[in-house]
Amino acid sequence: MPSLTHQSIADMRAGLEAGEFSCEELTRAHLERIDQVDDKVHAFLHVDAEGALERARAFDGQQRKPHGSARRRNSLAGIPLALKDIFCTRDMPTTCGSRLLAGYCPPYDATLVQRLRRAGAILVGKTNMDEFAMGSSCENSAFGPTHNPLDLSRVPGGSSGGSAAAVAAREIPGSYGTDTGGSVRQPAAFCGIVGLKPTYGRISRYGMVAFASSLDQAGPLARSVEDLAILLDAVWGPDHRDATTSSRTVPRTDGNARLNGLVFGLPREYAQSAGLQPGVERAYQSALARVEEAGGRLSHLRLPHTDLAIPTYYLLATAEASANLARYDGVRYGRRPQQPGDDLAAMYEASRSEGFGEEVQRRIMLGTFALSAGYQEAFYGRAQRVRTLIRNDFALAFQKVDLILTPTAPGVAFALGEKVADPLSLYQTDLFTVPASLAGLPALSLPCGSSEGLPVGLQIIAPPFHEERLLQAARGIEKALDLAPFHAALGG
Amino acid sequence: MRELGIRDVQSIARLAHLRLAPGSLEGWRRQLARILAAFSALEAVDVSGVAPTTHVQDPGNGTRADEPRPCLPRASVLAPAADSAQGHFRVPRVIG
Repeated sequence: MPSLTHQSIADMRAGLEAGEFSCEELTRAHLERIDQVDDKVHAFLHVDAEGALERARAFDGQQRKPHGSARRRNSLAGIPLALKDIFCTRDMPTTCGSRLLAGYCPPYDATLVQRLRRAGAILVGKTNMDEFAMGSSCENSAFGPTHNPLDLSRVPGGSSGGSAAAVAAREIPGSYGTDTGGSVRQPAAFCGIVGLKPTYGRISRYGMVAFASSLDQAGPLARSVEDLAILLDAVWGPDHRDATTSSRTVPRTDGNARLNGLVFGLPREYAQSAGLQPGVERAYQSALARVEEAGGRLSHLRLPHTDLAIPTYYLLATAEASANLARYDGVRYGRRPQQPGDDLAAMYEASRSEGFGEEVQRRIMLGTFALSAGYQEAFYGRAQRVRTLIRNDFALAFQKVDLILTPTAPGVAFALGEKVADPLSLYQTDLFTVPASLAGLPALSLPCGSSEGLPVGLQIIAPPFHEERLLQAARGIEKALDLAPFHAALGG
Repeated sequence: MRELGIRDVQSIARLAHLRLAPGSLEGWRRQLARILAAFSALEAVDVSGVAPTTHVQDPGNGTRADEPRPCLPRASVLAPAADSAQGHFRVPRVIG
């Protein structure tokens, strides 16, 4: 039997069911791994070891009862998991990686958290992130950066960098992040694991701290497509507390692999992008050849407005952020300075200026400008119209192909500090992930090879609400590529 | 679009309730101007007749029966606040 921290979620479920190990042993093994490696990786902002062990023991007690098998049928019963520190949890702090929310304990659980608890998951802790999910490297956390477990001198990607790093370092078998412009897919690619952004509206945003409400979507991260499907099944579906959740019924993901007969579109604009690193292109092309050998059909296509996606995304996301983050004013929650000033306006300014980091302030400033009198139509309004053009590109493409394949990111994980001084160059790294976000499409990243010894991610984009097709194809590609897992540079 | 000036930066900061150190204003101006210049590619796009996207799935209006439901207890809502008194959030004076 492989060590408990090397097992898949599917194997852990089977092992718990067969009584090969207890939930306490499983949870303890992951807590020990966190103890061993997290001082190097810094994936976690908060670990609730005592609470997790208590819940694990309670689970084991239930299992021994005559009707314990009912509990076992729950999809995530007894599985230790971690959450990006953006989901409200009533028993753990929720900081969003911000000094402003340091120590904040919400009075309620996010819907996603409620569903995980109901599914029997053992929530072990909260993971690091770029402050308020604004960043692509996990360096913008007020509590220090997360390191890529495959090469500690590199970033894990962001903003869900802690969630991805924790899974890659085998501190946890699965986690949840959020993806506004690629914040699940890009860290999954950088850390050599699998990450999914479902269709906008598939997972409730209730209790998920808002960054850009028309784009934000929660998504799971895991070490295999099969595990990813298990994590998705537990949390998606309509929620009366989030009016933007879709009322469509969610299919049970059957976990079958399927490639034969599927037509995969290859957008020329991605392959011809000036920022695409040669090593990433080689890994991508080699993966495409394997997909074709395994029965997939490849078809070149155009998504002509791709080069407008970055400005469109950054104008819309910052505008929405400037409105969403107006709530942080030192009144209802969050930091208020010791000397807040003489009046209410001074207190607002002092709380926000001392609480927000530089990148968050930069995005609030950009968004405030894009919404200000005289500029709103020229910036925000125009970006909303270009967003329609980008959506139309995908709608046309999906009349001809079943799925679209692109590299997830133009490069591999870059060095810590490399892009800190140049925000614009960091924004450009989102080039391949933001178009699907703007169109609200489901998209998944899975490892497809390596460059410079670091993983390269393959992005699969599907039409809206076609997660089942997406996961089946991903499983098929995963089997066809049959890559050895990437090993964390941490020992053990 | 005309080049962003220091006064623009001051005005944006005021609207956003952010206090910028006087010595940082020129740095902010340069950085924001550079980012906005990079985004100016949108100006050249013909968007006449193109409807704006406000919601990607357009689920329609979410409604429910207008019935009261339990809400969070007052004490738990006030607990994370920096300052509270008599069941309310307390803030510095609003009117001088």
